[in-house]
Amino acid sequence: MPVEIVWLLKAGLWVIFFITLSRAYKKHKLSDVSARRMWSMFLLWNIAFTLWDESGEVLIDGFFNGLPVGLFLKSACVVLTFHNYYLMLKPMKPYMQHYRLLDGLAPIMLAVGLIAFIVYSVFQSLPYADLRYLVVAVRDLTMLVYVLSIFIPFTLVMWKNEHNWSLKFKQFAALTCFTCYSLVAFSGIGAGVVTLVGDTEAEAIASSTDPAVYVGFVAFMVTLMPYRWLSFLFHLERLWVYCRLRHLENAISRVARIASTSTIALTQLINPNELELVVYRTLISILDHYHATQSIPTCVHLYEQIQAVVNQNRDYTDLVKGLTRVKI
Amino acid sequence: MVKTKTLDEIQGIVDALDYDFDCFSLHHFIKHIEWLRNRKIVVVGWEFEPKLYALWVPKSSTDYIFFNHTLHSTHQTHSILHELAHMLLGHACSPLDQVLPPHMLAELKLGSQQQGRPRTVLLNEVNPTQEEESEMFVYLIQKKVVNARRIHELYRGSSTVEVFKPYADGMGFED
Repeated sequence: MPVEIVWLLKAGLWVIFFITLSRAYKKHKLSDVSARRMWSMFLLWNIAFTLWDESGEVLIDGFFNGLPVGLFLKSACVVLTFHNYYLMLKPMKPYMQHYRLLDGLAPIMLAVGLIAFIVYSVFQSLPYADLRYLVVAVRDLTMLVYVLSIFIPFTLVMWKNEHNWSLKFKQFAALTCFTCYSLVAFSGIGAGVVTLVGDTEAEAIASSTDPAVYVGFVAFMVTLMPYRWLSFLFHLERLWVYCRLRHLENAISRVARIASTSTIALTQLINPNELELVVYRTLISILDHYHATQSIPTCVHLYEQIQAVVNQNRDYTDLVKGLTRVKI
Repeated sequence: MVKTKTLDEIQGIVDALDYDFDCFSLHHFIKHIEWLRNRKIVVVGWEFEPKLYALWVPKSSTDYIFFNHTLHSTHQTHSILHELAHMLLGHACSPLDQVLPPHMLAELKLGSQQQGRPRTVLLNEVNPTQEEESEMFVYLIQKKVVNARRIHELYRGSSTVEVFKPYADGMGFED
């Protein structure tokens, strides 16, 4: 990807970060410990993203006489972000004894990183490119331990249990982000191993997962956005829900020989409030008439499916979702 | 001939209820209507056949609404609101023996000349225009309720995962 676009993306990320942070500040959210932990995670990850490619590192290194400060700073930010997120998720399964092994992982890696930085600064016994691949490989190995052992399984549980639509979408974005960076980590580790054995293919291996970096980048942006910015996606989902329910209603109407709900104007489909009402009306029409399908031999399966959804989903939202899955 | 109401007239009646739909609950709404009309409303669940959804039976000092308790709760609420709409729109009732079979009248301990108004697809509607008015009334109410719920779900709601709740709230994502 061209460097200009990468920097534009980075600038966009910081803009979203400061807009959301200022909203939280105005709402006096930052006085809470949990909020501060969350915000420090986002800040650290933003710094790591800004320094992700070599151009970011070079910019920082320029202020320190070419010492690899950018590389170590970026790696430290990644490790600290992951350690914070681990501490946030840990209470979900406090009885998992082996997770205690992860308590010391980040402090150890930070200490190792600091020693490596001092040793390199004094002796400079390795070419910078080799050092870079080795540091990235160790960082990515650390990242992979957190992601595979805790982040993906726990975020998957939160995604399944989340009923707030906007947060569910953010959990999905977080899962996408973790999956992308797992792929990136594999290539980073591969490049490190290749460097160790003296092969020259490290660059090709390291850059093989570049597209995943940017998918993860966009997914991370989504996790930072205020709910209202995501509402257009919810509208698209409700349009799909309406289409599914209308399809079901039409099928029932043909059997019950009744007129389906009146024709919907385009303005109703564009206006979120009107669309929600149209979904409701269609649902009531289905509930009013689906019993007519019970006595038609060819429609017994349809009736049984609808009845099962009605019996199993006592909540309005779940009922609507269940009916969209009915096969006609 | 019964005069039909326009959408604006029905909207006017809904607005005149002066009810805060942001905190709508069926029980609270019924209490509000009782207070407005100064007349008791008793809502009773009943095991009707599947195609009879609800029935309004006005008595001397009390209005009874029987609803089919085998229905989904969303369908129950809709049917009860539909019967409340008949009350508030001043719709007429008809003898129940024209709309209900004798065994059901006996079950409900209602005389054959008892007046009432069912919500059903069992038979041809007695007054389709008034049925449409009642449905429109419910949709106008639901428009307010659905919007309040949508805004809550989309912009104001918190996480339903207890561990994550303080972190999500701390981000200030909501409006």
